[in-house]
Amino acid sequence: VAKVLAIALNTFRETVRDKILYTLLVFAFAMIGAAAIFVQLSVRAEGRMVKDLGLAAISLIGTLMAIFVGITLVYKEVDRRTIYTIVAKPVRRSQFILGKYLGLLITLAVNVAAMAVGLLALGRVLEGQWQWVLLPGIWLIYVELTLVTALAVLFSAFTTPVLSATFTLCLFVIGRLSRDLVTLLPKLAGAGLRGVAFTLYYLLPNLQMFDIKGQVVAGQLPDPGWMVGATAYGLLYILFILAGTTIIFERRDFK
Amino acid sequence: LVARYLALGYDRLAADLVWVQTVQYFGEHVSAIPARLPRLRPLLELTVALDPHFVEAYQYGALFLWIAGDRQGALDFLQEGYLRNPAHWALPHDIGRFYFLILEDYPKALRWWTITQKLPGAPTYIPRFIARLEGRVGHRETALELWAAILNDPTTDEHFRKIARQEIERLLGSRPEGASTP
Repeated sequence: VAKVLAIALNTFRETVRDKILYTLLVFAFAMIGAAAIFVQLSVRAEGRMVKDLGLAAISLIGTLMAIFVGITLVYKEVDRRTIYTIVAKPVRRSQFILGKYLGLLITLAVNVAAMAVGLLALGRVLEGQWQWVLLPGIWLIYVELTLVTALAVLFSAFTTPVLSATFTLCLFVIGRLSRDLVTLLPKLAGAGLRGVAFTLYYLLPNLQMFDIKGQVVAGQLPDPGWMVGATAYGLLYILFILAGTTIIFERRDFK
Repeated sequence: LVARYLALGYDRLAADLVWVQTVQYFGEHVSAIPARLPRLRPLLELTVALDPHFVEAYQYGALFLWIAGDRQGALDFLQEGYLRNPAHWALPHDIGRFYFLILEDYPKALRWWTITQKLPGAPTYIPRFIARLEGRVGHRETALELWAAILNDPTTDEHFRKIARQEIERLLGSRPEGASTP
């Protein structure tokens, strides 16, 4: 555990120095701030707009952070050959992957927390009260980001950043549409394709599980069972991906 | 459907952005009315296609359509909103108001406000509207009962008690009509 934590903290220190992170954070605050302008242009949907725009900024910018930082996480170590100094030490490759992943999760948590504070503060200023009901929505956005990060780290373990970004982005899009596609495909295709569609539906990540934005913006607290279920689903999927990443990384020859 | 897929789960945000565009479009062209606003209906349809639960878009979209001279379109838009959001009181409330104020069809206004009254969060003035309408459409006995219930409700404030007393006196003073009780 100590080794994993050491790698995680080191990764955190490394990623917070990444300029792309700050650029994205500035964009996130600009998006959240833009809500204050948009409410002037709307009619009677002001409260909803601030929350929609704020939650979308956290999700969208968080996803970009997860992808752009995640895809270089392992690749950089291999490219700069710093991996040699690590694998020469008594550190298992699984510990290295886990440490790298946890480090990025800490970075994401700090950034999501900063964006959440920005959104809640804006809500307090514009609506006169703290919108604590948004917190479950922000939590599930974070769980979704941890899953996307795991995917980025998986691809980062065996391919180039460009391909990793492409693959992660494709899986993100599929994950965001999986439930819709599964309702659409049976109408279009025969029994064989229907079977394939359902298999893919269960294999690929279902990111719509984490989308409760509409509910929290409407001021409704989500069902605790759903929160626990979605979090457990995310955790299980992440464990599955990290296991795959470790297997791939164990087999890599760095000579 | 395509718009929802393209929004990739950010469909509420996309709906908000199209709604802002709709408001701006209406604002820019409102002075030109009675000229046609050809983009108004497609913009409204896109907004609610992206977020079928955008109640404010149905409410104010219908208002825009009515101002633009499309009365039937406004009513259809509100009813489309109600079908998609049957648990939200604001839409049957606005449909009732539309029938009452614009179409002056009191039995239909009564029907929609009766639906509104059964929904959670419905405004407290709805029972008074219903009581008054019952009297207006000839349901004198029902109207009397409803006003009496309002009068006897301990939460009714003095102003509305006074209105209830006046209405009861007015109804008692008027002649019972043929089909008075529904």
